[in-house]
Amino acid sequence: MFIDGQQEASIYDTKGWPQRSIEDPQLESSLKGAHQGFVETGLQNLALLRRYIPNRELRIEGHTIGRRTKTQLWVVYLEDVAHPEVLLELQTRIGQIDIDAIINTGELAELIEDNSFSPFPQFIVTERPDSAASHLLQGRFIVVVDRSPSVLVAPATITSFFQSVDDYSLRWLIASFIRLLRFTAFIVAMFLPATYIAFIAFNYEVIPMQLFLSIAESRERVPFPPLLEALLMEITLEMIREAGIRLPAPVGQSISMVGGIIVGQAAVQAHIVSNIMVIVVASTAIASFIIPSYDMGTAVRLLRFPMMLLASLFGIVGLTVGLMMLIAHLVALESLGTPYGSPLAPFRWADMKDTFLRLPLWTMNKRPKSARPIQSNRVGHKEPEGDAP
Amino acid sequence: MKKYAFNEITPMQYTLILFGTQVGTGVLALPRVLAEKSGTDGWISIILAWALNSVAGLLILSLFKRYPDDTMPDLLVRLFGKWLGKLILLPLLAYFAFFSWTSLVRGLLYVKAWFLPKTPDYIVMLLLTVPVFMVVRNGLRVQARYSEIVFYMTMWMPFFLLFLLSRGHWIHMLPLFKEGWWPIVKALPTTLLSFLGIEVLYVLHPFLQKKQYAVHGFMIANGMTGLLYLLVVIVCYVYFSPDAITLYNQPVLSLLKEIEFRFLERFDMVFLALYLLVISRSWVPYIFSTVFCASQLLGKQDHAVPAVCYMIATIVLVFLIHPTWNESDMWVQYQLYAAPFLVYLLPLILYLYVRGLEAFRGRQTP
Amino acid sequence: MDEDNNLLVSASSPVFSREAEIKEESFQVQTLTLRQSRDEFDKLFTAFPSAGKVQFILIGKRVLEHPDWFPLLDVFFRDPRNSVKARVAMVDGSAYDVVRFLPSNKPRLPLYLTKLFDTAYRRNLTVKTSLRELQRQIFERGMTPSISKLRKDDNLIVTGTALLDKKGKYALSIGSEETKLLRVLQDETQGEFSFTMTYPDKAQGGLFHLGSFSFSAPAISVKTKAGYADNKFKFDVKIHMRAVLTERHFYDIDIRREGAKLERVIEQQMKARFEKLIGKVQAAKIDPFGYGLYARAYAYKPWKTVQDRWGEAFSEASVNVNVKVTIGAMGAIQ
Repeated sequence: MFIDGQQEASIYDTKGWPQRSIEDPQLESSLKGAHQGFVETGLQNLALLRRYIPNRELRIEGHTIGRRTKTQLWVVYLEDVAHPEVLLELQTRIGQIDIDAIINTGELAELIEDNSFSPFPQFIVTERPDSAASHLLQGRFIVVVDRSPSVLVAPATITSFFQSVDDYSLRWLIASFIRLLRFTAFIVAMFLPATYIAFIAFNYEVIPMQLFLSIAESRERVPFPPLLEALLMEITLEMIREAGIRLPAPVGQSISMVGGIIVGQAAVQAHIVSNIMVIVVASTAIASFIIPSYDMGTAVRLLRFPMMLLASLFGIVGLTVGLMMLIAHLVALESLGTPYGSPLAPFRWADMKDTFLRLPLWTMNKRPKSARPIQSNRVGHKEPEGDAP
Repeated sequence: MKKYAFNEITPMQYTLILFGTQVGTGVLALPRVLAEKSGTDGWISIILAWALNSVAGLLILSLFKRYPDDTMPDLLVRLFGKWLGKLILLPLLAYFAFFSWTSLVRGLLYVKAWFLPKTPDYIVMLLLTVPVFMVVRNGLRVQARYSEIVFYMTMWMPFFLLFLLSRGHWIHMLPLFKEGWWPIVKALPTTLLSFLGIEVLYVLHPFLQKKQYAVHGFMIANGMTGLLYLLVVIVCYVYFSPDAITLYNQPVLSLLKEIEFRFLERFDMVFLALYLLVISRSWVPYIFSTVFCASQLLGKQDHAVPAVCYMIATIVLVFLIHPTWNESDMWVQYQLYAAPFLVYLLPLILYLYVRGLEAFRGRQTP
Repeated sequence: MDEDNNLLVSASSPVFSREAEIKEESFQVQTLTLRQSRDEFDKLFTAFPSAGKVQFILIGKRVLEHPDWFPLLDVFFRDPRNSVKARVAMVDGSAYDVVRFLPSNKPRLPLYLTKLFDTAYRRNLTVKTSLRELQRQIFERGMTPSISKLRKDDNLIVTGTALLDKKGKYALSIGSEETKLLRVLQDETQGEFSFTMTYPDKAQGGLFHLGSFSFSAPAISVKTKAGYADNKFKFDVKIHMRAVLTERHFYDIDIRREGAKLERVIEQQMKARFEKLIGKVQAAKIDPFGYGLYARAYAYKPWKTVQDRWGEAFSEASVNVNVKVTIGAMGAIQ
């Protein structure tokens, strides 16, 4: 654009392409949070973030990767809060990517994560601008990938996958209760079938006589060992779940009806599985649905199987060894050089206010340490040093 | 220059590693061992052992205070030169390796006796060493986190013993000093053994982030251990008859058999299974010390390779030897002979040597 | 044990099968040890019997009449997978009769027995001696064991407590009334204690005992002191009971004003009962109360000389029981 009397001309990007309007996020719906989700246009996503944080410290850094696709990435962070070391790490890792195409945020996450053999997600991938903004405010980094409706949040800790935006709009007592419920669900989903197998197949001494008798009665005509019985049910369940996701909504519902109710009922009546096993498997499934992050939920679903195997081979010792390995893995895991197990290990007492519980907002005037902010006071801000030239 | 800056640990982690190293399988049998030697007055020797151990720990710390960035291998090399230093390091390495081995074997024997009598022992050993290796191959920081998280997960365990106090007979504790002081002193060596673990300070100290808390952390860790042992021993004495307690090889586990819930019987099995976490927490620093010393001896920075070698060696040894309870008891006895030299005497000699050196140099450079 | 003094072990195990009419299997084998008996049982039962879930150990009276039967139970303590919570009881008669007992209106035998003894124990009509507790009582020099006792007529009846001597040999039987007193003297005062007695002046004939009254004692405190003088152990037992009147058949005592009179009556009668029980026990040269513990705690020197024959030493000891009763409540009517 040329302006009369000016010596410079401005060039404006007026490219247009088909784009989706801003809608409710599909994967992470919320009750009380905002109903705007990210879309496939990166610039629009940046605009959404800017709307939440109209602050001069908000930095946006562009990168281009993908030899063929020339995908644009933007690293977004608050300069006076986010840790420069983490930024450097993130920049280096993005700089080292040499690939022909990046289609989705998930691909990016896999390319820059610390340990690709871990079942656990090392970055939060969200499609909610409000939760992305709140992570920014805690001192984390956001990577917006053009053409992808979700953004990457780093560094992540294991506990951050159990938080949801709704927690902060509910009463804190209720939100704390729900948080505890999620952690319980995590443990149940990971260990319940394995514990059941261990107790039934190996360490039946542990079960009191009366309970033992009723379990034994329900199992009396089941021809399979407990492991096989559990695997049968778990795999059926996973299939039903997978079938339900890809099918259109109305069909998907009837699948879960057929799968859940009819197959379960028939299997018990045919004495292929015992009804206690159906209860175990069903409660495990429900528990794994409670975990708010889909990525974490799938990790738990997968880890259940090695646990079951260990339990059926070595009883409760196998279970403990499984737990030990899980802990060993979690404490060794890092996300962008930040300990993944934080704030549990290394333990940070101050962060406990917003981990298992969600204490009232006025108690949380410090940013959580696990995001490694350089400015720990939430209300703190850098004094402007005169007018920028 | 700070060699170990990258793997610094917080004072909290330092404390919990120390505590974790001290508390292992020994406590399960401790009440019996004490009762054999000194009857119901055994708890007094715990207090004595605690005090002695505190002194020893303070001595080690005051030695390292002079060389805050040195581990024991560094210090030995610094004081005695490369060859002599490494020569002195050898017995220490052997001690750590042997200690880790006996403690692993103990864990193995417990698991075999309580849970998996039919599984071959080397498979059980494999099962136990895999998670430990997953922790040890990483830096000290990761091990510190492991100790920390295990501590929080198992904190509740001693409190279950309190349930049984109400069913106990306090009359067992009377009279005090029933046979005088001699039996109490006689039990001291064994009691000291259960307080061992402070020797990981040899490698731990330079990693501590804030050195000013070294003494605090040590005193807290040692104090927690002492309190825990006191609790366990007193509960066992109050619950079991003084005439019968020596019957039980592991009085703590026999005690836990008594706890029963509506939905859970045989609490000792669940407890022991979870106690494996605690035991593994004591393996980690010992094995780390072993492989750390080994890598220093070989002049390597990375300790993952020695760790793998050590793990494979233990499994192969178990396969070859098939250790038994009696052998394990014998090995613990050997430790009892070796520990005073390396844990109590070595720091004392080094301390005196360093002081002597300082005095000597002080005179030389006016 | 059969007529030729061979050891007979029998076991009952639940059967999980729709086809089987009867829910239990029970067999009897003749062996040397319990562990050996398990091998025999493996040949008989349709499943593996597992000692990890043993609920009850019933011992026939004839076994108990021989000393040194206790080592037979060693297998339960040695294998850590075994439970030590199983309860031990003496059967007045043949244990196999009880094991074979298959009442149609009762739950499976182990559950039935557990329930039966639990309720009796809660009322302090018998003692609750698990394997572990029995082991303690056998090895503790300061006391002798006591176990539950039952008999099979048409039904199973808990008949009180069997007191054994130091070797575990059967020494004395006491009924359920005396068991209550035993429990008090052991200072195990949980559960319910209910005593019935007769008011002395009102014991006039008639079909109904009009002089009777009952009370329960929700709070009993027992203080035992031991001493040694004149080559004899001396025990001073102070029992303080809070009594709650639960029943009385006479109305001519105004408890509000004359409560003290009733208290004295109870005190006297309780003291007499305690002394009678202690006399009986001393005559049998046993000490189920655990007074040896007190002797050790308060008179260690003399105790050391007699600790291996405490039963005899106790039979010569003098026990002074002092009962104090306070009526705490009289119920809803006067």
